[in-house]
Amino acid sequence: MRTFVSKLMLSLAVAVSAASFSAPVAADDVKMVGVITKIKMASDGKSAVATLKDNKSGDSVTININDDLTLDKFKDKRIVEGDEIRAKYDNAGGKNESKSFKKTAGC
Amino acid sequence: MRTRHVRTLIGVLVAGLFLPIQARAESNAELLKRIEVLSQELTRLKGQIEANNAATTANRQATEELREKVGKAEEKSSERWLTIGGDYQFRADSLWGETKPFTDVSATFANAQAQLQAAFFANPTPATGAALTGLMQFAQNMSGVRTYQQAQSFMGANAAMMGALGNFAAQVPAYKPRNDTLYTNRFGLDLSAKATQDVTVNARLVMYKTFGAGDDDAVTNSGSAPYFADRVGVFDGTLGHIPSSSYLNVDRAFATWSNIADQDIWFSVGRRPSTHGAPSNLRLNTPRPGNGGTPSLLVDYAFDGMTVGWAPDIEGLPGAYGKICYGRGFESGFRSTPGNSLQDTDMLGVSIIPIDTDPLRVWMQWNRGFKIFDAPKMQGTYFGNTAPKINLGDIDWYGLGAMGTLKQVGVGDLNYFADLGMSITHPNNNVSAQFGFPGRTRSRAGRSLHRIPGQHAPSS
Repeated sequence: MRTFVSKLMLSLAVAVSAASFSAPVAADDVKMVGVITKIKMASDGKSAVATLKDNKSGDSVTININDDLTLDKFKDKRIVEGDEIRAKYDNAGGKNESKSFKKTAGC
Repeated sequence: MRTRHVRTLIGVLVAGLFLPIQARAESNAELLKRIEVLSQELTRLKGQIEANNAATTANRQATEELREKVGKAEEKSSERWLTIGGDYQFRADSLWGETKPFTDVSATFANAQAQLQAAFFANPTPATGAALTGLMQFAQNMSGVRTYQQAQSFMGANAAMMGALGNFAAQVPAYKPRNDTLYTNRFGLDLSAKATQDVTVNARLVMYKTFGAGDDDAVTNSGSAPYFADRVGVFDGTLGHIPSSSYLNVDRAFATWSNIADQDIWFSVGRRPSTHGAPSNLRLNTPRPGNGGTPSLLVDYAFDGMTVGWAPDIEGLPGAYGKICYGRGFESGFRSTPGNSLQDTDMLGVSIIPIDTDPLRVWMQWNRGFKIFDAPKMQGTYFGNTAPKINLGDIDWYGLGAMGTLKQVGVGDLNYFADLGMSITHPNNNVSAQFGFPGRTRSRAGRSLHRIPGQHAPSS
């Protein structure tokens, strides 16, 4: 049992490591860390626009969010204005479509 | 007459010739005058515009300065850097049960001591004196036992005494304890301060007390044999989690440095959020622990320690992160002294969460406790005032679990979890004399499965 658990954990750790090196970032992807200054939900609740103040440049960046997991976090206030976010978005055509939007890790 | 008329006509004509010249001269003068007025007006307007421009520039500068001041004020405002939260819990319990008959070991020793002393003082003969001395010698020798072999030798050599102690056995018959109403107050104050852009300090202060009592007697059975293993007494690892007093204790206090090297890497140190981890948050109806916390099946103990973690951005594994944790379970104080052979108890853990989303969160955890102590420091328990007296060896803990929320299942959202744990001991051949020699020479494994098929929460 002990050997099995050890092997299982090792296999999963290797899988995670492999996955982390096999996800190339698309050319138009932009990563940033910033504090949310405004969240505006669409009236139908199926999209939102979040404005972030870039920690590095101080510029305001507007990101469009369409994924349900993040929208759910907006709806039940797990992500609110003032939270620091690590975001990745596709800025092709200046649309700034969110690809990842999560609170900065740490604890 | 004719000549006069002609002259008059010529005169009129000549005069007429001069008339427009004079009128034109007057018009030019007027124009010049107007131009002059207009020039003056233009100059005045230019002046005004320049003054306006200067005022606009000044206003702009003032606005910029004001904006800067507001920005700085916002940065300094408590709303921006300090978050205050908290919770209050009132709980009413009604407890009842039924015990089995048992021999109260502590009471047996006390009974033997009391009876032998009484017999000696009533009749101080060599026989009663020897009996009392024998008991005292027995207790003294027992406290000196440190290893499994010594314990076996001790029990072999003292078989007669142990048999004789049976004559003083304090038998406790079966009974039905009950506490119809037990009310408790729990108040928690949460503080989160953003010290710098990447450094946050979090604290949680907790008061947890019983209605009508300033101690833990109501849950530890007032120094008699307790009913629950985790309610023997309150100590450093359970302070604030067991009703004890009206003091506001520090349950958590830790500083976290995030975004190290511009990556999702963090380092955190302090009194850790190592209690109420997943999936116990479902029972407590609190948010998921996020990157903090440990699986509650393995660790639900207030540790002082530190963590370094990394949350890589993996498209196929949203929310994935891993961390290495270290904690000190017991600080033994100065070593190499005549009176202290105890070593510190430390904990090392590795946690891998390959996915952390609402529908699915998976965790894998390994912990090792080094040099586990035999008893925590507790006051006034059934076992008396306990304290670590010996290190018993190491323990490995393995955990694997998952939880998630499925939306709109039946009447609402469905929360599910399953958690598997296993512990493997690595004894060091020591035994604990204060608890009747628990301890082993060979490794043992224990397993546990913690699962609830589902828990419904109404849809919002």
